Amino acid sequence: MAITQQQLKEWRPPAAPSRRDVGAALEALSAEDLLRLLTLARQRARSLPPGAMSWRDLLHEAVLRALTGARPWPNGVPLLAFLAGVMRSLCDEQWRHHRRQDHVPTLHGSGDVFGPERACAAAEALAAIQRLFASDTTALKVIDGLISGMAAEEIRCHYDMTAVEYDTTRRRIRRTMLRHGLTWSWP
Amino acid sequence: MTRKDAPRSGLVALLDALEQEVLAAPEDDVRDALREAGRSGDIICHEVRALLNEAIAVSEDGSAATRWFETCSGTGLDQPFGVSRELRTGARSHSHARAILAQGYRRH
Repeated sequence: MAITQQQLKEWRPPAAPSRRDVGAALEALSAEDLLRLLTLARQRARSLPPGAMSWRDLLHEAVLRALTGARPWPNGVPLLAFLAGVMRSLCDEQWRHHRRQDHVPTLHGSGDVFGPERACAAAEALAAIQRLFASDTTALKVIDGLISGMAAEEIRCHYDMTAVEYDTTRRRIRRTMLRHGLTWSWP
Repeated sequence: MTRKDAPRSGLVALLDALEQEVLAAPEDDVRDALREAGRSGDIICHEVRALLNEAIAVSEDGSAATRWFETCSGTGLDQPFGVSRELRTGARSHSHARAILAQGYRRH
């Protein structure tokens, strides 16, 4: 359907959900949603500088920024996906702050948030995730593919996996992450 | 296949992929994980719920601590994320705030 000039003039961007909406949406989260949120926070907290904030602080800060409007919740974006994005950017913010505080040098031309210390922390976090799947060689292949930034099809072709094999492996990975989100018994 | 030379970008790619997995996980998978965890699952969900309620309460109070944090945010004057979660919540109750501050002083 074509949009008339008049409609174009009258169009206003949809208002972002209000603070009250964010609060109501948070209160309406189910136990399943809470587990997703917990798992997301714990995963992201893995990438923080050593001795930095806990997953609780990370989640609390993300929620608070959403509630205060410091990070407006865009219309049409699911709340959990939005909060996941806020936590992601908070992690970068945390690294920037860490670097300023400790005067850690950055690698030339590699951007503000990259540095040897972060690379080291990332290597440790990757090793911890890989240890989770130490007994599942197929899952490790998929994990390695994801680390290399491969898409599903590329991973399947590279490791000669059928679609079913790939899907069941992703399901095992998902369930493992959720279980460990709850127990946090990462090796 | 792992990019040994770029663990940070590898971790970013993996965390983003795992994040999508968790967000898109079917309800049944999430429910199963909760059921398997049993009582500890209930406890941790309760903890997350309490954390969200605490954040809601802090934002509704518009406490001095939060306003201070927002003012300082990005200036480098704040702590990693401004005031700690404990302190911000504590600022809602003077006695609690005093107790936390006292703990801080005792450490030094």
